[in-house]
Amino acid sequence: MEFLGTPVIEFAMSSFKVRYYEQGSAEPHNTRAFIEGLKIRLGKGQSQRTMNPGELVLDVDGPMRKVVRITDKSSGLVLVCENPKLLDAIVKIIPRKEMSAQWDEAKKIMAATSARIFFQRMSVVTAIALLSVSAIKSVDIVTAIAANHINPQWESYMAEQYLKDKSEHFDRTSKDAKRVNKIGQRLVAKLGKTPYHFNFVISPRQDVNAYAVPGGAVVIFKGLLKQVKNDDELAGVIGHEIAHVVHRDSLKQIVHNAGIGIGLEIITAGRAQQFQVLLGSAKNMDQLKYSRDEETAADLTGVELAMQAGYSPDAVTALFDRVFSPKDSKLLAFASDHPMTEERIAAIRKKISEMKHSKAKISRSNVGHTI
Amino acid sequence: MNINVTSANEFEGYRIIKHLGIVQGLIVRSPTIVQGLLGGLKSIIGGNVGAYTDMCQQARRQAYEQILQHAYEVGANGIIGFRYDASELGGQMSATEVFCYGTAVEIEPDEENGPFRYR
Repeated sequence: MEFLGTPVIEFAMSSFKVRYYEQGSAEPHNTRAFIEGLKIRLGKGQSQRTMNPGELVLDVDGPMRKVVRITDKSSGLVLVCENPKLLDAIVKIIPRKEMSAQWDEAKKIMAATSARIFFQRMSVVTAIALLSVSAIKSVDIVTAIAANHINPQWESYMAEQYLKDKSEHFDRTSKDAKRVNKIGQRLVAKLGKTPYHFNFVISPRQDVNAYAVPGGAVVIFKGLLKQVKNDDELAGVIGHEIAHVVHRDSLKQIVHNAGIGIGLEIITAGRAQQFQVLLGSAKNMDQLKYSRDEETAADLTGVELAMQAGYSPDAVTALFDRVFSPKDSKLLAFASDHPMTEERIAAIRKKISEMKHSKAKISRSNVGHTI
Repeated sequence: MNINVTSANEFEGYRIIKHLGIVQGLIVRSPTIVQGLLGGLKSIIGGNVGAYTDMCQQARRQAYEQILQHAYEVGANGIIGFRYDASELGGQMSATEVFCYGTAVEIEPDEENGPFRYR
C-alpha cells in the first residue's frame, strides 16, 4: 500500500510532550503530540490541531542550537521539537521527496540535545550518590573512631551486665555448655594477650545461629548445636564469634545504632555518661547486623584461630556449604544473619591454603585493638 | 540565525515589518552548595560577594538565552523594548527570580533611512 509515493507503515500510536505556537502568536501551547498514521495531531478535543507531514518546513538555525523548529506551511503552526524520538517518528512519516539535508542536521542537533540532557541527569545522580556514600562513610568512620575510644573494661562490664540480665535464659552448666566452653577457651588461648574475659553460654532457642556481645560473651543457640556434626564445625562458628569480639564489630554496631551524635560525644568527651546511653541502646545483641567486610574479616580470623587450636578448618567450609543448601529451612536463619557469598567461602579456602603452606602466627593487625 | 536585541523601541537603520508578540525568559535560581557556603563566609566580611554575583550572572544569562530561544521559536529576528526584572523568593532560602521580556519583531534593513544613508 502506498500513499503519495511513500509506502505506508502501520505505527502504534505514540505521543510526545511538545510545545507549539499558532500562526502570528507568541504564546506557547504545551501539550502532547500524537503520531497517528500519516498525521501529527497536537492536543485533544476542541483545541486539537493537525499538521500535515507533506507541508513541513524545517528550521535548524536556532540561537543555542538546542531545538528544531518545524513549521506547517499550510496552517502556519510551529512545532518545537526537543525530543529525538519525536523527530524520528516524524521522519518516518514524511514523504521521501521532502527529505533534505536539513533533516540530517536536525538529527545531529537532537543527538547533541539528548546527550546534554543525559549528561545533566547523570551528574545529578552522581552528585546524590557521592553525597550519600560520603555521609554513610563518615558515619562508619566516626563509629570506628568512637569504638576505639571505648575502654575494654567498659565492654567487659557490658558483657557481664548482659549475661546477668538474661541469666535465666542462658545455660552455663549443662554438658553442651561445658563442651562449648571447652572449645571456646581452647580457641581463646590462641589469641594471646587479650583484655577480654570470654564466656560461652547456650541459649535454648532453636534457630541455627550464634552471636557475640562486646566484652567477650558468645551465645550459641541450641538449634545450631543440633546442626553441627563435630567439634571442628563448632570451633569454626565459635572462632567467628570470638573474632567479632576482638575486632569490636558488635561494639561498633551498638555505637552505630546509638547514633552519630553519641559517637561524636564519645570521641570528644568519652565519659561514663555516654557509656550509660550505649548500655541503654545495647538491648538486642542478637539482632546486630555486620557489614560484609566485617563478616569476611571475622571468617578469616576465626579460621586462623581454629587452625592454630588444632581444629580442621575444612569443617568450617563444610558447615558453610550446608548452610547454603536450601534443603533445611532452619539453616536459612543462619544464612540471613550471616549473608554467605561465594566470595566469602573462596576467601576462607584461600586463607586455609595459605595457612597450610606457612605456619603463620595470628597476625596482630587482624586481632588487635587499640587500648 | 542572529537575533538582535535592544532596549529601545526601534532598531536604528532597520524597519520593523511585523510584531510577533511578547517573548520572555524566566529563571529561578538558588545558590549551589559551594556558592552558598562561600557566599555566607564572604558576607561576614562584606564587600563584593563573588559567589552570589556569579549566581546572579548565571541566572541572567540563562534568562537571556531563554528569551532568545522563545524569539526564535516564534520566528522573530529581533527583540525590542527588552527589560530585565528581578525579585527574591522564599525569604531565607534566597532563591532569585530573574525575568526578562521584550517584544519579538521581524525586521529588515531600511534601504532609504538605514545605515546606507551615511554613505
